[in-house]
This record gives sequence, C-alpha cells and structure tokens, in this order.
Amino acid sequence: MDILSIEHLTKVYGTGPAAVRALDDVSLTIAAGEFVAIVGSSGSGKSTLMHLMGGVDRPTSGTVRMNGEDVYKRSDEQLAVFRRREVGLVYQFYNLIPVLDVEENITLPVRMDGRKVNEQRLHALVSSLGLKGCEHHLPNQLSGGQQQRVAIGRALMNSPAIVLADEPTGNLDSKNSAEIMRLLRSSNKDLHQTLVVITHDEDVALMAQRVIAIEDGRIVSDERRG
Amino acid sequence: MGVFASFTLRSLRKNRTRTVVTVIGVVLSTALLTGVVATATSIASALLDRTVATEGSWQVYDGLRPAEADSALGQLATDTHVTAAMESRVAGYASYASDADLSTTTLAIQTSPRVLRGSADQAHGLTVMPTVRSGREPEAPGEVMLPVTFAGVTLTDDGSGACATSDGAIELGSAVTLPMGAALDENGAPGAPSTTRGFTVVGFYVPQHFLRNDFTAFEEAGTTAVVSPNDVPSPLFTRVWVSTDGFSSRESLKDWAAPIFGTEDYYLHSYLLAFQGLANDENTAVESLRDMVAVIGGVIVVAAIGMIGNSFSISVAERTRQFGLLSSLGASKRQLRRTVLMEAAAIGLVGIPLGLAAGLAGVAAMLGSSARAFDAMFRGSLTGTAQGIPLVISPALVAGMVATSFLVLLASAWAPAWRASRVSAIDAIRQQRDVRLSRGARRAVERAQAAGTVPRTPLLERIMGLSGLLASRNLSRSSSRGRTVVVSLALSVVLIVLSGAISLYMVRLMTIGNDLGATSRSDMVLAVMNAHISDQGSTSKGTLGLARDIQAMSDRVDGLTPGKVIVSGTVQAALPAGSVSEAGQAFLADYNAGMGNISRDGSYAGTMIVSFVDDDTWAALCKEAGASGTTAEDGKSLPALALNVLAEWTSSNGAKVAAPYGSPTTATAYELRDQQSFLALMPDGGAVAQTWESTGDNTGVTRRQTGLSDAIADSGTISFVGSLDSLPAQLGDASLTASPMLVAVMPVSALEARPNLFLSASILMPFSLAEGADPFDTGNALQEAANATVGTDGSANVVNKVAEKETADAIVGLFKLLVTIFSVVCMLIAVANVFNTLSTSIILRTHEFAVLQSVGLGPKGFRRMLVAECASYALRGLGFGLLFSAGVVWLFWSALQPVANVSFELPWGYVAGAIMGVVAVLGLSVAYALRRSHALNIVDALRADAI
Repeated sequence: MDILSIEHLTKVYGTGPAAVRALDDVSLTIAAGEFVAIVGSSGSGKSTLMHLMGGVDRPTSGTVRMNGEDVYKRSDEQLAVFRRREVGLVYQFYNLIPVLDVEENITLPVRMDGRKVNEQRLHALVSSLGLKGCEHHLPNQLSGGQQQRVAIGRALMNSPAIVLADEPTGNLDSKNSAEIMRLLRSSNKDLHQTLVVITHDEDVALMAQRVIAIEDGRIVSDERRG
Repeated sequence: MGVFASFTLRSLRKNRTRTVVTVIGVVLSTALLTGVVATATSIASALLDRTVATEGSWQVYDGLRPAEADSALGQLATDTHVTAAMESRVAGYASYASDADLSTTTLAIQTSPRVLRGSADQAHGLTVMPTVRSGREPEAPGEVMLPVTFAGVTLTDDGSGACATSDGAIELGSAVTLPMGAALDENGAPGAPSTTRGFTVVGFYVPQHFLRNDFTAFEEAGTTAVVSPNDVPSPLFTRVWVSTDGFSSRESLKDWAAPIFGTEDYYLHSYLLAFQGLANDENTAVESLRDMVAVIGGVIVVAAIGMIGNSFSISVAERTRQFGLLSSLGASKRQLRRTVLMEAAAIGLVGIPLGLAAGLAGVAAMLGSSARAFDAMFRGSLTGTAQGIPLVISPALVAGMVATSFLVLLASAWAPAWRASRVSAIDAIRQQRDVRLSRGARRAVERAQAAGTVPRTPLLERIMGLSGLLASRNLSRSSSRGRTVVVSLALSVVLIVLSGAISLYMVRLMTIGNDLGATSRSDMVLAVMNAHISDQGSTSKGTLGLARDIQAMSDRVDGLTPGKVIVSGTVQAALPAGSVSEAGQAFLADYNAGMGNISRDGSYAGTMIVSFVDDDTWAALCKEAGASGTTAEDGKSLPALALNVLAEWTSSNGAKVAAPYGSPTTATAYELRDQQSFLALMPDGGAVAQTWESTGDNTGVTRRQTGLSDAIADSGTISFVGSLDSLPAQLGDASLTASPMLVAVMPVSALEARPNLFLSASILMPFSLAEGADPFDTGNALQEAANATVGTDGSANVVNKVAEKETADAIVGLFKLLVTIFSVVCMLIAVANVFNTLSTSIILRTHEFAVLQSVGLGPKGFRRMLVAECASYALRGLGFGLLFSAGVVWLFWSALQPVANVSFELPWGYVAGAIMGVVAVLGLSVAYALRRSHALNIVDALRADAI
C-alpha cells in the first residue's frame, strides 16, 4: 500500500531569468514500511523533494498525497498539524530548540498537539536512543551524536506516517553515523516505520531497500534491492 | 571604499528598520541633551543679564584709602586682566535736618564716576547709574546733583558742625553748603569737616535700586550728593568698580585682587561671578541649577548609552556568524572592532546633526511660547507684550554637544564592538546556536540534573500550554534575550513614572500658595499707605484726604472699574465682660501671650482693627447683619459691626475658623497721649495704658504702666449694632480675618467725626478689570496714576491679582511644559529601545521558529507563543519597573519633605500611561516581528542557517 504518492511535482525558486528549477516534474510513490534512500549530488534537488514531502514548503505545481490526501490542499494551520502528526523530520544539523532540554525537545510534537505525553513511550524511546540520564540536559551539553539521537526521538515520538531524514549522518563521525543508522533501521524493521533518507553516503544508501537517484531535479534512477 | 566600510554600510542598509530606529534614538537623545543644556545656558545667560542690569557688571569693588589709592589705581590702569574700571571720590559725609519727613539723616558727598579703563558705556555699566529726574549731572566744579526727595525741602543747620544747609526750599539753581572731609564716627555721625563749600544744585536724580548696589548706594549713608568728577582733590576714600577677564575660578580672581586691594579687603560681586561660572559653595541657586542639569543630563546619557548600546549589541549578535567567518578569513580584531564603530559613526553622522537641530529648535519654540513665564521669573516687571529670554547658543556649546553625543555613541558601541572582535571562527562555524545560561538558570539546570528531578512545570505552560512552555524557557534559559527587554521595559516605566512624580509634586508645590487667597474678590487692589504719620487726628485726617484723592482718581484709568474705598486703622479699645467668646479668648491668648489683653470673663482691652466703609456699603452690611444702620454724624455714638470670624492659617495648608466675639455691646475707644502705648487689662479688670521701653543699656525691654486717667487724651463710645458671621464680599481684599485681633467694621463717617480716636493710615481700593483689558499694562497704568496722585504723601502699591495669577499660571505652565517634553522624549527613547530590542531578538530567532514550524507548530501556536513571551516580558518589566518607580518616587518625595509638606502619592495617570505604553510598545514590536518572520520561508530560514 502506497503511503505517499507524488505526481508531476515541480518547484521553481525565483522568477524570470534568475529562476531555478529545483524539481522538474517528479513523480514517485513510497509504500508503507519502505526504507528509501534518495541520493544525488549537491544541488540536485533532493532536499527540496524532502521538504515538499514533509509539508514544509509548497510546490510550484504537482501534488503530494499522504494516505491518498492532497497535502498542499491544506491551510497553513492544517499543514502544521500534518507536520507534527504525520511527518518526522531529521536534519543534518539536528535543529533542536536550544532552550528546551532533551525530554522537552523529544515531546515537542506531542505537546504542540496539546496531548498528554505518553510517559511509557517516552521512556522506551529515551532508553532505546541511549539517552537515559540525559533527559534534562540542554542540547549544548550533548555531543553531536547525542543531539542527532534527540532529533530522531523527536521525529519518532508521534509515530508519524513517514520519517524524513536529510543527511542525518552528514555531520557525524563514522562511529556515531553507524549508531544513528542502526537506530533508523531498527525503527524501520521493528516498527515498520516508513523511512526516507537523503544521503551522500554510499554505505547509508546501501542499507536502504530502494535507492532513488536525482540529478538536476529529475529522477534518473529508481532501484529496488533485494 | 574599503571592504569593511562597504560591509558596514551594507549591514546598515540590510537592517533598515533597526538602523532607522537607532538613528531616531540618537536624534532623540541628542535633542534632549541639547535641549536641556541650551535651556540651562539660556536661563543662566538671562540671569547674568538681569544681574548686570540690576546690579551692574562689577566683579570687584573697594573703597581705597588715600594711602593705597595711587598704587592700586595705577595698577588698574595698566593690568591686562582689567576690562573696565571706574572710580568715584568720596569727599565726606554730612548730617542734615529738614522740614520734611526724609527717611535718612546722613548724606554722602561723592564725585561723578571717572572712567579708568574701557569705554564710558562699559565703565558706567559697572554699576547702576542714577537716573536724572530733572536738570543734569554736575560737570563743573561747584555743581551738585541731589536725590529727588530733596526737591522742595529746606535743609537747616542741626548744629552738628558737619551739616548740609540750603537757602530756602531746594530747587534747580539753589545754593547749598556742604561740609568737606568729614568722616563718620563709630556711631555713624559725621566728625569735624576740614572745610565747607558752597554748591549750586544743577540736577535731581532718582536712586536706582533698593538692592543698595547702585552708584549712589552707601552702606553708611542713606543718600548721596553727586559733584563733578574733578571737584574732590583730597578724598576721604576712593570707590573703585572693576571688571576683569581671564580668570577661571573665584580663587584665581581673589589671588589677583589681593595684592592690589589687600587680602580680603574688598568686595566680590558674588551673584554675578556665580553666573559667570566663578561660583563658590554659597551660590546655591546656581549650584542647584547646575546640579539639576547634571542629573537630568546624566539620566539622558545613561538612557542613551543603554539604548544605543542595546541596539548595537543586537546588531552584533545578529551577525556573530558573519564576524566569525570574517575572522576565519583573516580579519584582525581591530578590523572587526572598527566595523562596529564605523557603524556607530555612520549613524552619528546622520543622527547627531538632526538631533542638535531638533533640540535647538525645540528650545527656541519653548522659550518663545513661554515668554511671559520667563518675563515673570527674570524681569519682575510685566507688560502685555512679553519679551521672554533669548536662546543663547555659543559655537563652543554646539561643539560640546556634538562631541558629547559622539562620545556617547562611541561609548555605547564600544562593548558590542569588543564583543564582535572576540567572536571566534570556531563559534561561528559551529552550527548549533548555543544558549548562554544565566548563572541562576545554569545552577537550576545542574541541580535538577544531579538530583534527577524533573524541572518544574512553568506557570506559563499551565496557562498557555506549549506556547507558554517555550516562552517561559526562552525567558529563563536565554538570559541575555529576556533580560535586556525586561530591563529596558522597567527603565522606561521608571522614567515615565518619575517624570510624572516631578510634575505632580512640583505643580502641587507651586499651587499651594494660590489656595489661600480664596476670599479675594477683585482683580486688582490699590494699597496706599499714608507716609506722614504724626498724631492720630492729623494722620487720620490725612488718610481720609488721600482716600478722597484716590476715589477721585480711580475712574481715570482705562480698563478698570473702581470699587469702594476702604480705610483701615486701629483703635485702642476696652470691651466689657462677655464681649469675647471662649474660642476668641483662647485664640487671642494664643497669639498675644503675656500681653494681658484678655480676661476669663470675656473682657478685653487692647488694639482692635477697624475697617471704615462708605455709607452705601455700611447700609448694606447692616442689612446683612440684621441691624439698623445708623451713622455717626453727631460724633457721640459710633456704630460698629463686629466681624465675628478669625481665620488661623495652619501649616498644613488649611484654615481654622473661630468666632472671637461673645455678645459685644459697647467698646470704649481711647486716644492715648503716648502714641507708643497701648491698652492692657489689670488683674482687677480695669484697663491701663502700657508702653514697652528699652532699658538704658540696650539689653532688653521693660513694661511701663500708666493709669488710664493720666494716659488718655480723649475717648468715645463705640456701640455694636450687630455682628457679621462671615467676611463680607465688600471687605474681601482687606485681609481682615488674617490678623489675630478683634475686628470691627464702621462707617467712614465715624472716622470723619472722631479722627483722633483712630490711627488709620492704610487705604485699599479694589478694582475690577474690564473684559479684554491687558492685566499687565493696566496694572502698570494704575500704579503710575496712583504714584502721581499720592505724590510724596504716601506710597502706593498695586496688588495685581490677575497678573499674579497669570504669572503663576504661566510659570506652572512652563514647568508642566518642560516636564511634559522631558517625559515624552524619555518615553520615545524608551519605546525605541524596547522596540529595537524586542523586534530584533525575535528576528534573531527566525531559525528557531522555522525549526518549530517544521516540526509542526502552526501559525496560531506561533502567535500564541510570542504573545505569551511578550506577556511575560510585560509582567516582569512592569513588575520590576513599578516596584522600582515606587521606590524612586518615594525618594523624590522624601527629598521634597524638608521644603514642603505634601502627602505621598504616586502619579497614577503616569502609572497608567506607563502600563499602556508597555503594552503598546510590546504589541507594536510583536506585530513588526511577526510580519518580518512571516515573510520568511521556513525552508529559507532553515537553509540560511546551514550556510
């Protein structure tokens, strides 16, 4: 079952002669529980694609459907609700809120929804992320790997339909990179979490079931692996 | 243009709003500082001008003995410090006796001034020269000019051996004989003269000023005869007036004067020197003016540094990464520092000239619109067309203000510039924007981590959910952000409330006096005192004659409608038992303790005040009192109404009213042989005349009592026909209830019938001002007309209540205007400050907001978070600000307590204004920041950070 379907997605930045076509008529679908890697060189449009999947940006044309529903037919307010319930975003540079501690950062999407935090789930998540004992540390008291684990926690906390990770290991050493990928993979394997990872890293791409290559805003290859 | 200059200009352009707000802040601070200093220098210059006009421009004055005169005058003629000098030689003193009632008995004889240095105008301006009333100044030997009071007077030989005499009544061309070379002995009497000389009177002058600082003023003699400049070859002493320049302190002036005049053997024009900047500790008025300017200036400088510094801190914080990058690319610390300082200089280049112009224009407008208030304060004499005081600006002042403003600007930018130069390349390249925890917050976090406890849920989260949590964490964990805003808000609140307090208390102080004159009904009152006091009968008759003259003159002044003349006087009277009430006994005994005027049975013997009114008024008052009006044509029965109200002014701005009379029936009025004596009661109830006499050795006074039968020259019976329980409007101007004495109102016919029973010398004539007439010009015209009418028979004084009220209102108005300008500009500075701080601190967090939005914070939630944050700022800012304000206002009030007894109160209007101002500025800043952050795309914001 397809969880995400993208049709004729185009994104143009700027106007006139300075216009840049970051995505050019891209169509693809992602099935529930899939682990997809999107690869491509710098400026190929992979981050733009990810932002459009996540409801962060708005496309110039084309549609993005999540569970059959057009994401960009929603109002800003509904789009925000979509982002916090249906999507988990992980960035290369963690993007944690510096004034909130680990636990507060992780539970941010739940609290935004005005729901009560499921303590059991929080504890399970914190221990599986190896953050036990750091619950009340501030981001600047953590290492890069720890910060990225908090970001993953924040992305998983709401059990979103899809987790989108933009170069999650790009800022980390190899040991921490392996650890982060192990966490992401286990969420995919154990919890059937749909996962899209944008990466430069061949090792990371090799872990995925499907690798989509983008060049100049177009999909140049889409390989499924054993 | 170097790369750093272009970098600076570009960053100013990029943040246009902040740049504009910062320039506005600089304009406001410079304008305010310039305004305060220009107002102060203009006032100081007006004070200096007034002092020169009324007291002359002399700085050093001395009376030189012949032995020291030559060397001193020689030095003054050549010394480079002397700008103008003038001498007058004193030939000696004369006593005189006359047929007129002249107030003094010693005459000094001195020469017209001779210029030693400077132009004649300069030299004569050293002191105030007498005005020639008739004739001319003496020019040739043997000529003399006398005070105008000597006109028509015959000076007779008093047998002292050194007296001035004249052949008959003195007029122009009369011959007078003056003794020469007579010094005063220790009792102030002239000694033996060396010779006497005959002079011809060529002029009469009007002495200039009661301050005894003019040319003809002498400490030892009341009046001066002025002879021609070279008519005194061997003076008793020589008076010199000197002005100097080139001294920066009073001490250096003293050091210069000592060898010429002798140490401490000369006079300094202290008041003038103070206004010229050579103050000493005694000149409190100047000192307090300077202190006030210093305090206000200091507040402005601190506020300006805070505001501008804040703006630069933000500007630097916003560009931390840029500075780090520049540093990583090899920019030196000095170059980075210079970038920020250059930014300050660019802002100053625009802001300071604008501020200077605005400040000076503002002061000029303020001086123009408050001309009358300044006239009232500085000239004393008022006319319909107010002159005001001119704006005084010197190039040095302008340069000083520019330099000060520029220094303030650089000082403000210095700390941020230093911070910019210390940004490390590593910090900038690191992606995580770190928060810098305050010490308290860090400890709280560490404690919680160590104990493993969950941080407590903030109140804001409980109220506003996640928005509240974010707001609260931002405030408590990002100290620099929140604190700057809260401190700026609190400071603004303090500034606004303090200016409100200044306005409140000062205006209350200034209006306290005005409440006391509530009984006055008329617009102007002409008060005339009979100048010739002799025996009671003659004095009263003379006063009645003056009253008739005044009544006749009264309708000749345009714009004034005369009321009825009131003649006031006193009478020595005895009232039988029961005449004075218990309240009256207590009241009178309180004020006249030990005088023996009052007895427990309600009898009274002593002085009473009597107001004599015309027949119509008398009839009206009798009707009011329910009495049958009778007159006193026969002179046997003198009717009176008892004015049964006495007001006692208490220190705390209120009046206690007492009814002093019991049931008065009659009073016996006595003319005492000795006019210095007055009635008192003996223990047995009988009345005696008693006199206070000084004991022979001048150590005290003794009381002499004389039996009535020996003391009285005449007597009569006053019969009370009724009593008035409140002060009638017709007598409103007579201040009758203000004296702690029994008061009676009688028809003027009683005074005409028995003038010798009363001592009446004072006349009051109330006037009402016609619609549209100028109170100042009309008052001056009335004064002139009254002077012409009374001539030498009395002194006339116009109490111009309309003008006084207008003057007081103008001064209060001026003060309110100044406080208003000050508080408005302070408020604007505060608004600029808070706006800059808050809006930029929000814009700085664009990235953080983008992250929040990317993980699902909707626009509503975002707005709610900002509102929660600002509400928290507002509450903290207001809380601290109001608390601190209350303290500051209390201190201000305490400082005022010794001067005036006003109750403590907060300026609630200003408090409300401060609250509204805080809410408004927060609203404005949030709206602006929201608009700015709304315009930003989440993706752009997220990406911008990754660059």
